[in-house]
Amino acid sequence: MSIAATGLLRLRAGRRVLGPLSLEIPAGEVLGLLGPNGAGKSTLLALLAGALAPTAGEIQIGGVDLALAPIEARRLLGYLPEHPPLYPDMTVDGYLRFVAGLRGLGGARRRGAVDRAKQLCGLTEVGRRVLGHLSKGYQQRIGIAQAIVHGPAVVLLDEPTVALDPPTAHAIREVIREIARGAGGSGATVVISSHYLDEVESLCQRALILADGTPLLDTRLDLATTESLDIALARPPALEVLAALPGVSAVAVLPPAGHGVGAFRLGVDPALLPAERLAALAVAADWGLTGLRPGRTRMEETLFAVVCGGAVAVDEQDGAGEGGEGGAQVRPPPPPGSGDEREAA
Amino acid sequence: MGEILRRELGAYFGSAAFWIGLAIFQLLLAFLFLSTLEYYGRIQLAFGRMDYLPGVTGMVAAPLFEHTALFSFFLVPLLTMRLLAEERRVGTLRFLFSTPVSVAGICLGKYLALAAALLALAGMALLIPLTLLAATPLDLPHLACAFLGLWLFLLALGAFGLFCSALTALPVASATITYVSLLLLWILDRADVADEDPLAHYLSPFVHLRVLLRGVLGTVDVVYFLLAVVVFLTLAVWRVGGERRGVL
Repeated sequence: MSIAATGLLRLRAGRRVLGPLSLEIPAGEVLGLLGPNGAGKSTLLALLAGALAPTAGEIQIGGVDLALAPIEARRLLGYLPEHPPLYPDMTVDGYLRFVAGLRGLGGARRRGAVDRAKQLCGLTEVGRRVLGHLSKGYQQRIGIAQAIVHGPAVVLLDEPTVALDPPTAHAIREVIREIARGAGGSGATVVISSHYLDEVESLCQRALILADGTPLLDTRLDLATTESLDIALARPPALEVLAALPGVSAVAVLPPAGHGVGAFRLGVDPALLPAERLAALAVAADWGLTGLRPGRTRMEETLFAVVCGGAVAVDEQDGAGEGGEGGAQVRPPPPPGSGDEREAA
Repeated sequence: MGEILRRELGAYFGSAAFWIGLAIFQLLLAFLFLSTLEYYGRIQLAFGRMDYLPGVTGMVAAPLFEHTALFSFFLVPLLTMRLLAEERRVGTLRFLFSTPVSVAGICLGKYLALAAALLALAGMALLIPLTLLAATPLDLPHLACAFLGLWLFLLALGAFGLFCSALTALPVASATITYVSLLLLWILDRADVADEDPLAHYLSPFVHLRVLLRGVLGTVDVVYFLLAVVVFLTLAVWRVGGERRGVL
């Protein structure tokens, strides 16, 4: 089920928290929200969930207006706030039954839904335990279980893996993949927020970077993601030789990685010069290949600049070209700090 | 709303603290009852020569209910403090906003559960004079009217407590606000206030409670309590809804 937000703006006590922002999320897409603390990720999710009302703008969940038909629209979605909304005095079973009831399930359907959610989130062993006594990892699993217990078409998860140990975070990522794949019927539209770029890259088809309540970058992740390759050579040729390679559009010298090693960032067309082919060329020419890895993507660049308070290198050509909702839109950053953090590129 | 009501009922009646509190409260009332009864037994001899005899319902049950009302100044804040404040503190309130339950439904569900808890409280107080049925006939319509008065009194206080709970994220702060405000209302009941400022005196819930305790089902007094319920419930809904909209 699709999500459409137009002209979204949220003020709190007269201060702008988020927006203006417009967002289209097609059905079945997994969108990752990135950005530093206070960027408005949680607010955006709360607005989409109907937990907060926008000061201006409107939101449609599967074509149902969240403000005009709140009850109907909210039935379609599941929401995990920043802190799992648990009542410490309830048991896991009792709590999931309560939430399923709130979301409009009753009787046998409710029992089945609770069992399915427990199964999916690995909670079958703890059904009778009291929520307040469970570990953070379990509480987070229960938080996700309550968001999906009614089989919603739209699932909104605010920092689902924050402050968890790596195995638990991994397990939760698997659960999110299951939800997106459609553990209970057709695949859900999922929006997650995260501080971890690799998490968003591994889970999402699309990423939206927010800073200071404003969208900075909206980009697809399932298309060609790498536009540059970093290569380290023990016996580097002249720069012109590298620049003349087929598929190379730009060459930059990186700070040397070690003694006698030349490091370069090559702007490449991944179709003409995949990493594999570049490695073969380097070996054939006996340049002494010591390292080869994908360079920073534009998303990484933007996120890095935002988090470190630097300026963002804006590449105007890319955005317009791809078109549709997959196209990237880049805006100038909010009042910048120092520009010193700009990456050598 | 039904789910909210069910959960809150579970939270009240499923907690040991509620039952222990109820038991202690019952013990206090029992002491008061016995001392009132003894007093009544003593002055009853003097009544023998009078034409009009005050009944045991008016002389024993009514004062007992008035004491219950006074105790409720301490009990109601304890029952209402966590209703909304705790939800806000834990973060579940924002989650409830995202469920297909309206703000009014959330507040009303919680209030109805509170009403049931208060009914249990008033019911416990009612059980004590009912024990007299074993020994003497009671004026049951009078007792019913007094009981209704007590419950209405508690409902009005409860609605006020719910509103106070809607104001803050700290249950203790909510209880303090409720408690202090109720003490102010109690001061309004003093006789000198009645002389100096009859309107302020008229606002005191005790004034209206006493009418019903006397066995008079005064429309004005019933409306007073119901109006208080409606006003404070509306204010609570308004406050919580404003939080969702971001204007408060």
